[in-house]
Amino acid sequence: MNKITIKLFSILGIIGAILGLVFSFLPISNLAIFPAITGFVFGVIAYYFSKKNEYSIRFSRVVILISLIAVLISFGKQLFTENKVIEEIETIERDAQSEEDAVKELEELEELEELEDLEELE
Amino acid sequence: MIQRILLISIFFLSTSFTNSSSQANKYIKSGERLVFIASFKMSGVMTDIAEIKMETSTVKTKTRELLRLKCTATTYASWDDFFKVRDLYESYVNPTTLMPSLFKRSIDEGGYKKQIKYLFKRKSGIAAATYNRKGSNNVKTEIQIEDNTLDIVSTIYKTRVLDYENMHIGQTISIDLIIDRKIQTAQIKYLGKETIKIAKYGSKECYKLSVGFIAAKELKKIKGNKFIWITADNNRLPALIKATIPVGSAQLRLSNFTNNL
Repeated sequence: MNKITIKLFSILGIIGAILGLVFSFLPISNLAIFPAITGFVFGVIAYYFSKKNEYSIRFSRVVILISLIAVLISFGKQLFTENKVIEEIETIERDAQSEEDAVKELEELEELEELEDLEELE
Repeated sequence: MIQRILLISIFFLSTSFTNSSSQANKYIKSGERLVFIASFKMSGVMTDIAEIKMETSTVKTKTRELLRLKCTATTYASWDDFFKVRDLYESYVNPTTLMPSLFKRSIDEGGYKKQIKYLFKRKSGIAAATYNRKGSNNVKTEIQIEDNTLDIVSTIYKTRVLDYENMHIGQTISIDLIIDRKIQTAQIKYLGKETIKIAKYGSKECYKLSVGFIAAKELKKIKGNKFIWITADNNRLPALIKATIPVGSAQLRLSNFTNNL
């Protein structure tokens, strides 16, 4: 494998690794695994052929490292993060106020219907 | 995207009924609490986005006792910084017939706020609609309704009390409900019984239904297959809802059920 091909693998690898790392910090961290593993595979290929041809292996090592970090964060978040909702006071108050208003509106409706009934009787 | 999922969730849950309007409710009581997980399929992986809660409670006015049906949609904390949803849907219904007297909807989706209210004046055959968007002035209109017209939330609950045991496979029923100040018709096809796994509750036999809509401009956009499974027991729980949409698929699965009776 020539130097240009190895560079291409390294560049594709770093793109996958960085994408994986970015995804791993987002709520869609479970999707980070795809670019991260792609980055890891390309990084390993670049590392193997760089070493074989006695080129610098520093960049491919960085690719592998970033990919592994992304995979670890993604797995860690899936294992240890629980889906939680935040109960906000504002929302609780909105619910209570809404019910209170509804009772008033329903009572007004009842009064209106009673009046209509009376009118019908008359 | 979340809006779409929530919309589908609500529409899904809001399916059947028409000829069964007179059917008395014997399944839904005050104190019931259902919790659902709303997920969306992205790149082949289901991602949990929000929690949907459906709760019932008793509300007393001067002369009547009503059932408050409350549905809330709340995004998980991890999504709040990206697209925060805090939706509230309520319907105040007759506990026996589940016919609504008042429907209220207050949504807050990624900062977009909207309120809608329908006051059902059954004797006059109209629903007084009040609409408010982003804090602007209230817009009031009147919608002509039939005796059995429901709102979205009461439809959800009405769907659960239908007599599926006496329906034949392939039978379709229609319902009229108000969505966005317009009368829409939902069509439900009963597809028979199917056993599915429900979180911690194990395998349950369910009624499987497919859902379609007629003359619903907004709903027509949601193409693809839409299915709902309702447990074939005395709880009649909407256990699973699945939809395929142009940009993927969404599902709503029951995660918790409590009844304080």
